[in-house]
Amino acid sequence: MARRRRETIHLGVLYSLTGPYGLVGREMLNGLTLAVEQVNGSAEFDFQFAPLVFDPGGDLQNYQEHCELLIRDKGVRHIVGCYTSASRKQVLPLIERYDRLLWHSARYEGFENSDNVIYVGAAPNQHIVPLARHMIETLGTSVYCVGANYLWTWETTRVLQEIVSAAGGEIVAKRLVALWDTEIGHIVREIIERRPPIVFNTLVGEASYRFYRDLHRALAREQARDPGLPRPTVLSCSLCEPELRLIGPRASVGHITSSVYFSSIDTPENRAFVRRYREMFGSGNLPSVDAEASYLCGLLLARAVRRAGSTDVQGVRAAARRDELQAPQGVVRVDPENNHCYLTPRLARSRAGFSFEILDTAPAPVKPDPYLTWLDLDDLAHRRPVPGHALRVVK
Amino acid sequence: MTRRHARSFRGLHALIEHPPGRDRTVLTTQLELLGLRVTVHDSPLPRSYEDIDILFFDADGGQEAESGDVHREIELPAVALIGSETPSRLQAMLARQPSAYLMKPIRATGIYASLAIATHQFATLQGMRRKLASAEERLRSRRLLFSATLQIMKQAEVGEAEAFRILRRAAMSHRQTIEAMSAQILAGEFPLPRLRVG
Repeated sequence: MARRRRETIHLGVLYSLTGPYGLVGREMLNGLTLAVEQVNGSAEFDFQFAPLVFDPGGDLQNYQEHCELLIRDKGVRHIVGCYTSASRKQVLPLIERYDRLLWHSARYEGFENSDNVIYVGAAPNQHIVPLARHMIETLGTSVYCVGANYLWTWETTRVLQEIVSAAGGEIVAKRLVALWDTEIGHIVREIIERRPPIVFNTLVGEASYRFYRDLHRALAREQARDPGLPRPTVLSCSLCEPELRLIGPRASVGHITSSVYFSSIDTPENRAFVRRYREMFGSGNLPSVDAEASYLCGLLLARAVRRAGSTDVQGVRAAARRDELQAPQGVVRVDPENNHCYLTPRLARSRAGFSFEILDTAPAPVKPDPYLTWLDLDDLAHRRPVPGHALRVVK
Repeated sequence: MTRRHARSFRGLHALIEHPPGRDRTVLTTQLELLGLRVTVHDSPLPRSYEDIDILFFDADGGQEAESGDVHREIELPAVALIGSETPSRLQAMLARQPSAYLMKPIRATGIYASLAIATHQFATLQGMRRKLASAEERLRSRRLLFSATLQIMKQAEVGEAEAFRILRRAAMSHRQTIEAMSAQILAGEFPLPRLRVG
């Protein structure tokens, strides 16, 4: 019997592959490409995806124009894309006006809930809250904050500050630099002088890599003089595998990150995912949380289209809300209440070889809470540091 | 100028503090259609509000100061232009005490209502501020009045009602408010015999 010709579904892709956050954009495209290859090569789907990739280059105006092109000229119903909240806010009015669906892979600061977005990246209760909890339980409550002067920093630092205050601690300083400004020498000097036990880093791109490198160098110099000096622990919600390589072999070691995905997750699903990723993009590369999330965007969309029997937005959205996916990070499903996903928060420490050692894993996927409606400060406040507390290491 | 109807905003001078783009263009066009004179200002850095009647400001942009947001108190109706609903942004927006808001993307619809709400709310707020100021002034004076009455009660060995009657009579005969007379009594300018005579 002749095989039925598979229908082609055009898929809009809006990732900045160039510009200040081009590295993440290429990571996300890699993840999505993997999903597209999987769908197109599988007999389980009677259609194939043809991605139409647009690169806004990090320019907000381009996001709007490219989105309009994809919808009006190309007629796509589904767009996978955006990384920064500023870019999402640019395209959201168009997506809503034309009633399309945006598959959003990036973690973000929350406080949004559009019926026309499937939020596959982590919500604040899945990234900053677990990090703050870990910090209070094991490291202390005196924090020095450094970050780029934009929404992500303002909001994550605010949440951290509320939790730290509830636990009786304090933000000892909040230092902001202009977005994409890489002049951070004065901050490193101040950390060396004040020696805070914990540093919370929300710098982005090169500024962040330089910060890790310069701080490492300055601390090494200080410790050569006085080996007894304590080292601050640097915490982040965004540090990922490809960035470790950019920071360098020594300066990238020993930092704590909160994320729903690390390439070192030891499950059959993830091992297969990492293997396929390396086959396609080079054996030296490990997928990041952003790559996994865009992979999930592609896969959730394909499964929803199959279940709905069409690309119709209403049908696909309803189908996506009924799905449950065995993802590289564990079970992932869309919460019908808010279009965000149940994800599994983890904490890890960066180690030699540009990867992460996972320190803690949530026992089950966590319901997304984009408005932090259910955040219980009293519960967090009682999680004081336990002397000699040993972390549960999940292999 | 010819008379405007009660809900016309013709001739008002609006300032829009927002970076250029579609939102600002839509807002400018609609305000001009409603007869307002519009000035735009790209930068979040302060600008004089001297000749401005109503302010539209970007609630998303702006640089957050390291010690939290610091803004002057705006003595004019202000409309916040909101994109992000994150608490950190909302807090910075509220610090500027807007009287109304518009959600981005800005549409022609809603701008007229925001003008009506902002000007009304601001007028109500100003009225309340005036009332509060006068009530606070009276409250401060009450303390003087109370102390002066107490002093007369002691010196003249009379009850409260009689002491107050003496005070009021003295104020009337010197053509002063009762609060001003109290202040003078406490300053020792009216010894008891003079008061009784007064």
